[in-house]
Amino acid sequence: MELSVSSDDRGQMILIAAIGLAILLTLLALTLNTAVFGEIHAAESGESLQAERGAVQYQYSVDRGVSGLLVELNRDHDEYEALERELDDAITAWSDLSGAEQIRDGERTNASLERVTFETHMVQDEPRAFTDRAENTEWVIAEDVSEVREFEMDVHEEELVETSDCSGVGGCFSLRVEGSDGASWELFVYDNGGVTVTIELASGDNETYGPAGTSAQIDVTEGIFDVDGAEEAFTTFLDDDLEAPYTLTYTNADNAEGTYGLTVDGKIVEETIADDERYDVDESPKISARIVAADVRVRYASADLTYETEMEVVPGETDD
Amino acid sequence: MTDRGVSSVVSYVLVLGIVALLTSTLVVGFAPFVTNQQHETVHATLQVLGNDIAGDIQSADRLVTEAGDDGTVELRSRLPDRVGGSTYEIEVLNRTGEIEHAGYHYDIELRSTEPETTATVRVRTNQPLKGEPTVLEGGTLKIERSHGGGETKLVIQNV
Repeated sequence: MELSVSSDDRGQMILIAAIGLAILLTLLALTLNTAVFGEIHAAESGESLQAERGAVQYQYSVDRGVSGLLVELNRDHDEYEALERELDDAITAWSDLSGAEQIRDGERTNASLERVTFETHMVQDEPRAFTDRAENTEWVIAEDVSEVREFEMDVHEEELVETSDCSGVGGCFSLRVEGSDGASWELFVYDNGGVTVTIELASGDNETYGPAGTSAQIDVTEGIFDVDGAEEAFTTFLDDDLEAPYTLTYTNADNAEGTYGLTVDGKIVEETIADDERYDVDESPKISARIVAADVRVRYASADLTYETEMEVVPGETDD
Repeated sequence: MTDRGVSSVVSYVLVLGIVALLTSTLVVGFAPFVTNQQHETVHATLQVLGNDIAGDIQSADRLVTEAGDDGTVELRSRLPDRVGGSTYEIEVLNRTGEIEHAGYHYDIELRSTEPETTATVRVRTNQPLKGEPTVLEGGTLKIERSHGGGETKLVIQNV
């Protein structure tokens, strides 16, 4: 048996030693690998922050989009139904378009209209009797409205009943506001040597202002009777003991001439404005519907986040 | 000639002996260092994970505030099942009563078993927070808004 060691055989020993050391160092590296993992994980964190940002950004973009849509639709449409239908269609179209973009980033999004809040603006902007479109002299301007805003009238003297006391004669023009509790507040306008107003409060007490000149401006909601620039303050139905919702009625409307304008919450006609005998869309007295708020449901889903909320969008107003 | 054969065997034994001696010295010398390093690394990783959970809780908390009363929020926090080859537990401890500042305060405690170490991260939220069950296992977590018991709260669960 040849036991001599040649120079070639010594290489094997170095190889074995090298492999041994390599295995040792690998094991050492594996043990220390947790440190490397920690670093990698720390660098990768922040995905949820990105998802949160995505959801909030989408919500804001819905807010901005719908808010802009509302401004445009309120300008282009007068009827309640048309406004709601157009808004619904526009939101669906916007949501589909935006959703197709978002899906490329692995985000599913959707926005849909839940409900709308209407406001109705009624106006008679050319001087005429305070009758409705069908020339009714006693008619309900608005029924069961939760809020009345900016009710102003400009009354001319010509058609007013000439009297010194409206309780004595039956023909004075009046605006009666009835609360849900049955209490009523009434404003009479008559000619007592000039435009004069008497307010009959729910308590039965009376307040009289005037006479003013040949015409007078009455701010029904602010309680200001403008007599040639000198303002007199009266008790409004909002300050009286009346509970909302209110019903507003004109009586003897042919005994007053002038203009008026008011804004109330909600819908005030059952069907379409065109079918309502009291108002018209183009001719005085006319009403125009507006959407003052839209409740929109927003959904956002990414790999790590599911987010859903219902938010109120107000035209021309954004959160950011 | 037979003497030369003996010398090569001796040479082999000597080389192997020296290699074995070096290797064992290396292992014995490095062992405490490795153990210590592993302990620190696991602790640091648990702290990173704790901060991750805290960040995700705050994200969910902000979204719940943004979503309002009838919103839905479900956020997944993707964490590893093991740290340094060891499983770990997560516990949410209520510290609200101990801190004067507004809001709800919690300690998120992460405990690993091998090596035995604990990392604690404090988080402040606007909604109450609850772990279901109280002690969670490491791995992917789900942070969800819950209306249970008439109270809006954030619930953390294992997925």
